[in-house]
Amino acid sequence: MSLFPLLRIHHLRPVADEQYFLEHSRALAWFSRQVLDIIPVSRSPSLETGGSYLTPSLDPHPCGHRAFLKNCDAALHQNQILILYPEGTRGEPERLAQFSSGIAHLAKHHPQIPLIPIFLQGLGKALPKGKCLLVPFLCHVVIGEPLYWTGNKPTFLNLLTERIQALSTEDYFPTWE
Amino acid sequence: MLISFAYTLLANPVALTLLGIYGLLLVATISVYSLGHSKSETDHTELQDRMKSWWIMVILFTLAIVLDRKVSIVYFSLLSFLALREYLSLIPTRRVDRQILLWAYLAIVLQYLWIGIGWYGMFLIFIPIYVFLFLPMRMVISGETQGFLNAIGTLHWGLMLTVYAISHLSYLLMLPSEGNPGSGGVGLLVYLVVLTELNDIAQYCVGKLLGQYKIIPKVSPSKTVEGLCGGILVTTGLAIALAPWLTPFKVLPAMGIGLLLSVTGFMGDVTLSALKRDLGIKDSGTLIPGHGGILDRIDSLTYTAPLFFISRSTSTTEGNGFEARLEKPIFPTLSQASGARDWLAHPPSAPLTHLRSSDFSCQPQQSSRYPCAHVFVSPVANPSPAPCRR
Repeated sequence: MSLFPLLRIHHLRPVADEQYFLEHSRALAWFSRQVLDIIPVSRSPSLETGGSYLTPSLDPHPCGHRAFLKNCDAALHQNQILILYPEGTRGEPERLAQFSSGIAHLAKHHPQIPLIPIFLQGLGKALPKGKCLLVPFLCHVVIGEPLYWTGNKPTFLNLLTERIQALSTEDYFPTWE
Repeated sequence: MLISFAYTLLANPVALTLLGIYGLLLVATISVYSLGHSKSETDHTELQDRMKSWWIMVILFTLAIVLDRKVSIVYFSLLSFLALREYLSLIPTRRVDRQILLWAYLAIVLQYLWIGIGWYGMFLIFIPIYVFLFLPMRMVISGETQGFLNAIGTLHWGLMLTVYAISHLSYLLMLPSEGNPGSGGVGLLVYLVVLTELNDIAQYCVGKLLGQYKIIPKVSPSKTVEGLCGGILVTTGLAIALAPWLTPFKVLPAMGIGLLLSVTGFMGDVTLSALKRDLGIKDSGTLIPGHGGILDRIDSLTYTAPLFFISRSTSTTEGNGFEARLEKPIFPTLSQASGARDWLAHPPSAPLTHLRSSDFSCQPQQSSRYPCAHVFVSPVANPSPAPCRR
């Protein structure tokens, strides 16, 4: 978020996990709603054991996802900027996971809106999921060219994955095993 | 008041040297910008960025050494931190070592704390001994043996370069001023840093102008024999010229220091080049526009700072008169034995094997029940045959 100019900060809407950000603690919930202004996305019970979250077609309880997509639609209509992680989860630190199709649905609904691929490196080293001890590391943010809906879900997801992978090889990044 | 200020400024050799540096910077900046105007087809933005970065670095360095001793310690610890962070972000690291890297960062704080409280003995041995032994132990506790040697080897090498070597710059400021009556530790620090950086620049410029024979093409293709020789000549000349202002060195020792700084500065430069080449990168970072990363800038200092620090005491004509005093002893027992303490504070200028038996005095420890079993032997500065009291 700090990459954006301060004047436009009220346009930003990070898409974030409802269970973690809103149900974990009250302080975090307040901060997420009032300061970050997140768009909550809930993980459906059947997909708890792994897999993607943003897949309405597979979802036995589609209402939550419909509401989520509606929220995203509303935000985009108000000229807001969505920040989302198409992997649907932070997963393993510093490793690229399979993208979910939720991003494709959004792009399909809004073919005129540019999607800017951004590759983040080093953040998983500095503060991986579930850790509270920050270790200083230089982090890299690689920003790519905007891309648009291609008309077909698999090709779109492939294109997005290719673009992100291209960004991840743009600079030298050390291994982290 | 302004006149008196100008007078004190001109009377201070450090201030004069810094003024000279600002003058050089100004001349270089003007020539770089006029070059950019005259020949528009070649791109001079990198050179201009480099000049801008030089201005910022020189101003920061001036503030650090002029303001206060505490400010300078914070400044150098920050320098070590940035360098270590850059290094650890470049090298391959293991997931299990994440917390251990935090211990490595803690070593910076402690190393500069020893400098701040003037604990000379601890400053010298903390990283080469205590950290050296602690970090592998901590790695063993986390239980992952795969890649252990790589992990501990790369981590400790980085700590030695970015923390231990660089902290010697900071300790120069803590040295007692009687060893260098003209300008004290600040003079030595400015002498070291100015010579090292000008050596880099001289090697670069002479290499660009006259360079033909590559010296180690496999490591650094831009380094030439002519560049190295030009650097040695310029640095040695400057070392002799600046010595009477900033240091207690006479001509011959100053020449030795100039040779040492220019050759080892080159070594530091190519050592860090080898690291970058191994990792397959050109610059170590992007922190300093026109220069690259912080490691690209302090590469020569990692070699020259510790070597200058240990060689300066042998270069003074007074011999051991400029040794840092042990304000806090390494072990309490050593402080009780005043002879041992004196010996540590003023090491003998001659090797121990050349000393005659009359150079030693025996000092029994009074608190001991068996005095003669705890005799500390110490060579004294003015040998006076003192009989052993038994």
